[in-house]
Amino acid sequence: MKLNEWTIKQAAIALKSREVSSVDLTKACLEEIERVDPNLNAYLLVDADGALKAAREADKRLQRDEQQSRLDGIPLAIKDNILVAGLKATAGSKMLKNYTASYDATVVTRLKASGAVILGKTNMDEFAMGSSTENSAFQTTKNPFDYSRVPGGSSGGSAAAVSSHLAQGALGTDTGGSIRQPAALCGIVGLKPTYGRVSRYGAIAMASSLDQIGPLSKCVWDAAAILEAIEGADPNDATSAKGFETVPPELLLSDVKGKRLGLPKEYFIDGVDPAVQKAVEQAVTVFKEMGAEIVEISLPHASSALEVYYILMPAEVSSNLARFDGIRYGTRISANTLRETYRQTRGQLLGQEVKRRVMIGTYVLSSGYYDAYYEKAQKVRALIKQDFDDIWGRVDAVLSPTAPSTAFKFGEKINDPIAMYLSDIYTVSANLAGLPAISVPCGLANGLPVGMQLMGKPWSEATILSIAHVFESQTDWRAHRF
Amino acid sequence: MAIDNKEVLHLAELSRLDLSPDEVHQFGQEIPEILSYVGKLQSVDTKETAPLTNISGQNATLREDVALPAGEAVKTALVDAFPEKIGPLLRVKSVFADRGSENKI
Repeated sequence: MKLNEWTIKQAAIALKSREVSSVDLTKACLEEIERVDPNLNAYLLVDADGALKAAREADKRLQRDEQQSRLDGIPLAIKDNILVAGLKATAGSKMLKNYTASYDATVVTRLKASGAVILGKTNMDEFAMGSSTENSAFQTTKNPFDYSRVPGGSSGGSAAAVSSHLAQGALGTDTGGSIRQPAALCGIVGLKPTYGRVSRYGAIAMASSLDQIGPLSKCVWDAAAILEAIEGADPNDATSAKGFETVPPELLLSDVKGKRLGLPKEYFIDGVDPAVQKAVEQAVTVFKEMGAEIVEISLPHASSALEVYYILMPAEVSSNLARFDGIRYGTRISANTLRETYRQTRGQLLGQEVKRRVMIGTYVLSSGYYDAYYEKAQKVRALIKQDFDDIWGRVDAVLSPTAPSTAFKFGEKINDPIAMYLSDIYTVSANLAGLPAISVPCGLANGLPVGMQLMGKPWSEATILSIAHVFESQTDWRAHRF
Repeated sequence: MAIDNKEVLHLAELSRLDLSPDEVHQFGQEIPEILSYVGKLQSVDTKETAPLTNISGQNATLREDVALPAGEAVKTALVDAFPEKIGPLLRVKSVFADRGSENKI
């Protein structure tokens, strides 16, 4: 196995025992990026000089036995809507094509403090809007399992990079499934933390009541390691929370006996690819054999989740993207008047999906429609959350497919917005209710990865990470294609 | 429910988006489809339900309202990002160009 193919856990052991250096690991990733990425297109920007400099610093610390953390010297990739000072941050948009980040996101500050090496910035759907990464203004990222298919989105670049071993792990953002769905489609692990667990400071905002930053990784242990490094209260994010317990990966449980897994009856319906359904049913069998209890539950408002999401999210988007007006940063299309400058800048530099969502958001917030759409959606959001609150007494986690299909072909859904939105059907509820949720590989269907999702009650990352970790160690669905 | 071009243009104006005629036509078809899809929420009973506005359950604590200097490096980075500038000053079109109708919302 090549060095870049190791998990973070394996690499950390090898670094500690001086078997390899951080420069070795970083070079292995950079060489693989050079070999594979011209076709895969996972990265928008590779910072080889910065990465090697950080790797050399890490090696000095390793030689003095002064490791900062378990991530010291580990090369990671960062989604391009998360700010790394001095590097471009485009959010996949022409609007920010030449924008250089003026500060580090809190998660980046923490990763740097932990000694991690930042390889570069990964491709994404523009402003995180999309489920295939086809909405990137710059390039098309391929699915490592089949280059004619999408990697999922919006964190498709991060998912493809980790799956192809172009980074040992990565950060993404998840507003309606944008970490979990590409993780599922690319055969890797993706975690969306409980809302408030990870600071959003320095992440270009999409929908502020839904966004979370989280890890994409080759295994659950790695996801726990990255989460531990980035989580925690931040005075710069007033929605970030204090007082929860961290989950060191060593403390992940090793069995699931007696754990109760809920299967929502509303989720196993028409519209799911039969091969996905079969893979998840097989996972249920594995859980039963491991001593877990399967409980049928009902989430009565499940069928409204996508509708609530596609009202609230565009509303928040229309507000959050108002700042992209060509005035203080980004590209400006200068016109005769201020108003025309706004209109031309935004009209020319924002992509179709972004404009679509901004206008939908404007509509649902506008006078005369606010009550019927936005306020209504906020009320149904409360009902969706209540559905989950009502079941945590009976189950430890909720199990479902992550996505209704495996990776689809390029162009298959891009011209049908609603067909694309349906990709999020299983993932949006976790964002609406603020719940932690993880996607873990659970099978292959026609050679394409299938992901299974576990959702837990707020702050129960220890539970869902443990259950996922045990499942992973009993099965062998990790992306080993080489 | 359909929306006509006039409504699309109104939304575009509120959103400060300049749209091509093709885009106006395209969005005029797509937007009503999406609104119709999400409009299915109307059938959900929410008579006794309050809107959910606080997701994390935290009460946001704001820091003290005092100015904190950001430092030269930050200032330089911010000024460097200005699309048009005169020295360290951001250059923009006049906000109050004239009292004509174009400045009415």
